[in-house]
Amino acid sequence: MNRSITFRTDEELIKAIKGPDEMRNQALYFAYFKLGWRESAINLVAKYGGDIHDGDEISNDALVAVDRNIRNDKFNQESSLLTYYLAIVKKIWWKRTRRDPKFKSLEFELDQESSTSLEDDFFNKEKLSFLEKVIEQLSESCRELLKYTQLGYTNEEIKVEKKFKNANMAKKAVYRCREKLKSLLQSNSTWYDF
Amino acid sequence: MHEELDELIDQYIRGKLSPEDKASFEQRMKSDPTIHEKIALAKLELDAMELIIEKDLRQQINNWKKPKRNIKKYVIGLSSLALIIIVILWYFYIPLTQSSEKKIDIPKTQDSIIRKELTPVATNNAPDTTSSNLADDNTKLEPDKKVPSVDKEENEYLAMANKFYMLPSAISNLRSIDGEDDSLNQVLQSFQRKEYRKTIEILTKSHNQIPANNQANELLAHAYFKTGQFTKASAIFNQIVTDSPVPEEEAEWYLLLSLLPQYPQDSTRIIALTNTIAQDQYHSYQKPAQQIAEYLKSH
Repeated sequence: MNRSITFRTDEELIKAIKGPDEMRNQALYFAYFKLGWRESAINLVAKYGGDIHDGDEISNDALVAVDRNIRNDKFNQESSLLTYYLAIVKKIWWKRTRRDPKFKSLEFELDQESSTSLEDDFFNKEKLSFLEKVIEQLSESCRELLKYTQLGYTNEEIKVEKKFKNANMAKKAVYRCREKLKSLLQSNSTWYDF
Repeated sequence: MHEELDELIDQYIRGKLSPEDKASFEQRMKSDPTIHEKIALAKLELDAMELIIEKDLRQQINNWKKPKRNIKKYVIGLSSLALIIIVILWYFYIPLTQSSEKKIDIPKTQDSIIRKELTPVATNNAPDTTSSNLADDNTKLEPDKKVPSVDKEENEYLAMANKFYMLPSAISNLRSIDGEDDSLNQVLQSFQRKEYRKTIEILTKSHNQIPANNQANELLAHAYFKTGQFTKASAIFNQIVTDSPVPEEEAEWYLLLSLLPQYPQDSTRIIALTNTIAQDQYHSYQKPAQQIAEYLKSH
């Protein structure tokens, strides 16, 4: 990964995060380290009573959430990306500490709209555990193909990335992996409850 | 049909259907209850794929946080090491690369007293070709940079040159002479201690301070031979042969031996020189030259 690439605006970052995996990683790295997102998150958490380990963990979770929300068009671009990222940091920290009296109170008002926009996690513990077990049963190559599919790669792009002979073979491979994933998901009789 | 439905479901759960298509699809859902289950499964599938991306990103973040190996430092370090090795090799093995390309400057002054002691050595004193001259040599042969002696064939000629080579007794028995220049005596001592690299170093570094005579050049040529620098050795022996007003049998012989490892590149010249010596019944080295000639013919 080329760590020297510079992104000058939020728009460039968003475009890259929605782009191919390599570019997405470069953009996230740039924001996280070069733009000081991580440091800001750690400082923010420290301000509300967390230590550096809390800050580090929260900064990771928030980056994952920002990445996901941008890719899934859940970032409405009404604020800067850094403001948005720190709002998610706050939300995660608030959720974690709101019932713990030893931490300073963190005012965090949520209206319906911002709650959707600041989505910071998708899964409850049971669902996360179930999904983790399922994806562990997939082969490494299948996981990779599914990642590219979810990142919006076309069959042609997957062909290039994974060196398939042609786009049709890439398409068939993706199909097989998706069928395998579905089969694994359905193998648990309670899957419908998730 | 099945594929089309999957595609519709995928776009529906990703919120990518137009309002009209969305309405149409929801109408279809009402009439086909099985679609609900398919949608639920597709959502779960999408969550699983998101989790794959999330885990991958977390792995990436961990990698980013690891202390970055400074590749530049490694490269600079390795380059420096390589440079040091090259400099050392250069210092020991090829200090005369450039000068050997030029004409070797052989002093043409009258032979010194030492030279007089050397002269009779070749006469009727051909080396014992069965002895291994390198057995007692404390200097490992280093490959001459000019001689690409890597293949088996070349190694055979190198082995033959070493087999026939024997240090002239006049040199091996030479003693420092009172009154002779100290720098030459120093060279003699280092040569007799078989410190051939040091000999080369002294002779090449302070050539101007050493009295100009054939003795110094012969020592230098033998030191080159002993360190495997055959191109340089042959250049000096050749110069001695060329410049001498009288036949230089010894230099001729050592010229032949110095050339032998270069046989694949210089076979015509070597065969000619071998035959010259082998056919000269008065040449002190006729017999070993005939052996070499036979060997060359058979190969």
